[in-house]
Amino acid sequence: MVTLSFDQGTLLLSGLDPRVGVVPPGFIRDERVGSWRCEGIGYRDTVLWLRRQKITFTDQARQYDPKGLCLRPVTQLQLFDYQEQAVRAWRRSDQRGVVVLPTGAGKTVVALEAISVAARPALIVVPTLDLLNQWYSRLTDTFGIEIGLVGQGSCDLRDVTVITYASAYRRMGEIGGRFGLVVFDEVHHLVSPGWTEIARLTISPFRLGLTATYDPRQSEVLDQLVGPLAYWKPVRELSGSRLAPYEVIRLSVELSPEERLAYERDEEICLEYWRGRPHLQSDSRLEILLREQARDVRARRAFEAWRRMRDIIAGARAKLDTLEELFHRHASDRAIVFTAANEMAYKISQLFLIPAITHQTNARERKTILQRFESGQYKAVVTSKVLNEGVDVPEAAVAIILGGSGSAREHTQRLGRILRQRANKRAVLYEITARATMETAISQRRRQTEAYAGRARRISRL
Amino acid sequence: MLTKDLLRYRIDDGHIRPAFLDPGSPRYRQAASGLFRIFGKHVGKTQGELEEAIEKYAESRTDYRILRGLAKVIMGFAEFEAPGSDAAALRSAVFERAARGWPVVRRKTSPLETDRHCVLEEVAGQIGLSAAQLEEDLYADLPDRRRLRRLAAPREPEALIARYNMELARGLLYLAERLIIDIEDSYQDVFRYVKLCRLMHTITRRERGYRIELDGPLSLLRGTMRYGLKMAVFLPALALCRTWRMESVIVKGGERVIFSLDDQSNLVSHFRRFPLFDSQLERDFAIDFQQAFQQHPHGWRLTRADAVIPVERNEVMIPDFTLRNQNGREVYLEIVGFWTPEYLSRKIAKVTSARLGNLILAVSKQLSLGEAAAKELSVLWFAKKLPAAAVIARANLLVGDDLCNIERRRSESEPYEKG
Repeated sequence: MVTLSFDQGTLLLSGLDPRVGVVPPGFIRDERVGSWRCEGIGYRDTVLWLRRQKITFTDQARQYDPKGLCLRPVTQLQLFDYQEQAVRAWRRSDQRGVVVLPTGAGKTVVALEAISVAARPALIVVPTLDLLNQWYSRLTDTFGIEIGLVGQGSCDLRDVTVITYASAYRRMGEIGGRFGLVVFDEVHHLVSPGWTEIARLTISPFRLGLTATYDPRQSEVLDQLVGPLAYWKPVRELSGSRLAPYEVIRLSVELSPEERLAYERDEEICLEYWRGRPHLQSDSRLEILLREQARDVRARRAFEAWRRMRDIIAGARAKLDTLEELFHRHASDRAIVFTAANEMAYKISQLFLIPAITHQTNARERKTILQRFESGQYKAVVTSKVLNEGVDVPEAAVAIILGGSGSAREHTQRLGRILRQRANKRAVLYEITARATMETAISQRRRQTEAYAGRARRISRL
Repeated sequence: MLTKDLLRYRIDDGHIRPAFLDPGSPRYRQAASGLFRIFGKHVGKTQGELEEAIEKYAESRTDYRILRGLAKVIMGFAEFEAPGSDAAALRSAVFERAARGWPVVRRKTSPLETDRHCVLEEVAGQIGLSAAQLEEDLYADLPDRRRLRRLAAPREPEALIARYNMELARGLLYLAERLIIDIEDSYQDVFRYVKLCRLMHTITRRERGYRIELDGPLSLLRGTMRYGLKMAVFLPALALCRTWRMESVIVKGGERVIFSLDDQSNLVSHFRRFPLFDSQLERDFAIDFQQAFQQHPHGWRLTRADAVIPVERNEVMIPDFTLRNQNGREVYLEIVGFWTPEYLSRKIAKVTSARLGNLILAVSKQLSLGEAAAKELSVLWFAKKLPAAAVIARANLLVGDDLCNIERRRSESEPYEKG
């Protein structure tokens, strides 16, 4: 009696007649249990192999109904033509593939349509808690059924379930046999070592990877773990048709005399540490400090000094004054403020009495804040680092960057936040930086990304 | 558990050694006492304040990481309060009121603006708090603002240092792909923890004791560190043994290094031992057997739970007793007191899959529920107590059996013996 079963992310095949002589590819003999074993990802190929060999077997690995699951959206989904093309391309690819669309172009809708079309229990894997709640919301509204949630302390598994990458790494061994479709949001996260196991430990025959940033160097790995590149629409192609024009205004402020004094004092402490050490760009310097500060008192002092510099820049009085001025100028517009760190978000929240959303904010409060922001009850929201990746944040007319790292990807995505199709409304992005500080260099690098090209208007003072 | 930055170790010649502390060292006993004092003084204060105090204490010391490591171990025993007022509700009230008068400014200069302080005063008044209290409670639910309720830690500095050493060892195991242990006693405890930690095992019998390779299902197919955490959790179980050795290969800084420890490494286990005797039945039997030995030297010696037999589904059976005669012949004894038909048939299935010709399954006629299906095996039935004489008689019968049969069955039942 040939049996295929699921054991902690792997497949066990027992009862094969030794006279047959062959074993499906990918299987190794496991003497600990007296069976053949292979990774869960080999499920589809194994079933196909067994069928080709005309071997009857009991399938205990697939823990869902092969006849399918009816997943019809409550109201029919409206897809743009490129979204329809993306879904068609994915289906032609045996429903195994990667779809690349820029942020704000509606990857979520593509996924919703794919989930409906695949008609199997589906697991959606997302990188952040914020996205977890966002997807939960969209899926609930779209399918009108109870959606499962794994992460941030809860564990509720249903036919359609959202889970974080971190939880999926820990738990795919248990749940990998329950879903016929797995959707990887921001699939570029999947290729980090360790997390590739998430894709290897699930049997799901159907896989969809979504991202705005596709690195061709990762194509081989993604091909194995998810499927080939099925559809790709780069940023430029879409900006004319769907993404609204926006303005970028750069505001440069002065540190107060006291702030400048303190900043220079701390800067000197840092410079003293770096004297005699090879010249390095500031990002690697930070990494080195982080690493060394645990064992070297001088590195610790330099690190503390760097932290103080960052806090001075973030909370510079002139920046807060400018922020207040912008709130005044845009009193009737919805605004989102981005900060680099949680503490700054809470500080601004307490100073201007506006809600803050960070990774520490729980699902219910987050949903309430975003609902009130959308309805217009809240006029402004401050956030640190979240509301960044592919999240459907209610449209804002104004985005204000008070700080943050300069990675190109992060800024492509931040722009997506405010680049929403709105009739005749011009969106504006403000970037407030402190003059003659380490922030100025970061801002320069930011400007070099493709999406900003040709769009910036420079203003030195408000 | 200790985070990566707090792990301390040395790599020499392909071996990695944790930088254990000497529990008797006055310097670290003082540091431990100092940390306990800080925690004590911060009962009722916030986690943020506690962390700051710890940082101040540790900051200028050259052994900063040791101090932070000790503090992290103590922190594992700290219990924090859930916040009193509903901070989210307070926030909601404040933000709603502020939004109605948007924009909010720090100092009002026009009637179109709303003064920040006025908003706080108004909302505070409605709830019955002062504006200052409201401001403080607004984010009281943030993790570093919760308050320390009490410390459930072992208060002796030596115990803290011992636990710190165990956590150093555990921290290295996170990166392990496989753990190999050699043990000669405490099999029941070790295997119960192996099962609790959901690790898979491959057992090889050695001259004295057993060698056990611990890993997980995926380990067979690819090098993976996903079971490292389980191995780290398991480690203190190993230290319950009198005699033990462990070896693991971990990947650190791109190098494959060997991590080994043994019973001389001075590690102390904080795990609970399982009770020596499962039941009064076993206890009574052991006493009876000793007395029988005194009266009639019958040539058999009795030891407790010292044989590990692999059975199906990667489980083990550790028979309650082993009888050994003067010729070195072994007979196992498993005593079943309370049973249901399902329990008994599971037990019999386990025993059958072990394919032992030399196991006595002694089952009590009392406290049974239903009929037994024990035709294949020679079950030894007993009434209230299991008489040693009956067991000895059965043991003699078994070894008097066809010698060839026993040898053949024995070699078939040890598929894990490596040649």
